[in-house]
Amino acid sequence: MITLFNRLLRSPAEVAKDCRADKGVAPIAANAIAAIVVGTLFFGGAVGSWQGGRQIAFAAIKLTLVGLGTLVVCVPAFHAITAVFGRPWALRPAISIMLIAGARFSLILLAATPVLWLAINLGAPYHLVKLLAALAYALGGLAALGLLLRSLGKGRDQLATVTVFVGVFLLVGGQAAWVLRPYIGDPRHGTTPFFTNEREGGVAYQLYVSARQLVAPTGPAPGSQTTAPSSVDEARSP
Amino acid sequence: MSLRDLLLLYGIIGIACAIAVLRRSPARNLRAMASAAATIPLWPLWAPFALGAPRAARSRSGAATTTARIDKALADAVEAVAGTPMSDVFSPKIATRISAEVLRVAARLDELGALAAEAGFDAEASAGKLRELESRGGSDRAVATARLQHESMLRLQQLRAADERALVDLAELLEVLRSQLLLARYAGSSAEGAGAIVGEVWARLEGLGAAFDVGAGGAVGGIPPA
Repeated sequence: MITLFNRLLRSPAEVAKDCRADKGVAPIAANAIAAIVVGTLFFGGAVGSWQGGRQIAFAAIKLTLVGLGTLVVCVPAFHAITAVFGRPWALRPAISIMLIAGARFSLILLAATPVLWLAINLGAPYHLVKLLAALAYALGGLAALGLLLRSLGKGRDQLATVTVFVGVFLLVGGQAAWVLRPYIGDPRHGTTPFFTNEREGGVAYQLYVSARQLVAPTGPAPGSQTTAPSSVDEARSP
Repeated sequence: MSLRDLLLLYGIIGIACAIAVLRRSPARNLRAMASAAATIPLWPLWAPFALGAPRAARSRSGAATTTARIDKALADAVEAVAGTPMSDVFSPKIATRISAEVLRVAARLDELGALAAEAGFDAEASAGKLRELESRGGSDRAVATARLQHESMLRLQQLRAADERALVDLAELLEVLRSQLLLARYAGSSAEGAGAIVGEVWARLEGLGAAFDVGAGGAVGGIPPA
């Protein structure tokens, strides 16, 4: 497992080449899944430690579910998109490439975990924790994207393939994360539930609502609740 | 279809895949159980790997296919010469001897395939170990041992691949022999060409047997026994 982690971080192109050639992909896939689980569990635990208690376990489990769930939904899409754009790969190479990209992403999260945990331990406010988590996700995403680009090679329609797939991935991942929120937790509540009780529609709908409010701010937006906001901005912001 | 229905369907497919994984695994050990358990929630990600044919099994089925081709070609050839003067060139006795030799070679190939499937006989794993040792600056002795192990695995792999190819070539040659004998029977041509092919078949069988005998003597691919 450590060998694969080293290869993913130091020579991802080599791993991607093995995956494309369907060469020894079963152990690669098994180790990649293990990396995804470990990375998201630890990172989720660190995120949940801002509130502490059972939120540590909740956030760890939910971030792992988001990661794996997004991959489960996006793997067939990736297979189809690559085929449409001139790369008719077999299923195993397509899945293994997705998995190693996910593993690389998770390894970055794992690397960022001590930093996030330290910040929380030093009393970082909610917004800082949120930004640090977002930054870790962005770094992980860039690392995974780089591997994906290497895996696709310099063939035709590389950019189109990646653009379409990233669009699908962001939509699915965003919705999965939205459904399973909250992760950091709300200190105003005695106990944070596993799932949020707020009914605000999907992530796409909320994006639409926010955009509409920006363009024409006219009272409460459709679908928005007058209940307390889900974030804890007010609670800890100066 | 509600989310609950969808999840139920997902779970049912996962359980079905897990059963298939268990039935397909050669041994009911902890590894197989873990693989089956992982298949239930992650079947879209893991089932294609867990249900993929093991390399050894694939290789065995390849050898079995070639052996079946050879047996058919031999049977057709014997039938073609039956009751003709050409039966001296290719008698049922010769066909039986060739078949026995081919079966022996195929069995050896199966053994090599099974060996390659076992832990510790994987060229990819040995390459990974070598890379790891080199990257983390392992001692010269450890790197040299890992390199020797990797080279041995590669030689075993090459030997097996070469003999698989040789068996396929033999099958093609026997199919040519069958055609020659049929031609001689129905066109009344001379069986001289067929006689030459029979000689070539024996030469190739001897070549295959010699390669395996060297391996059986404990010096596979030029690697001296420990």
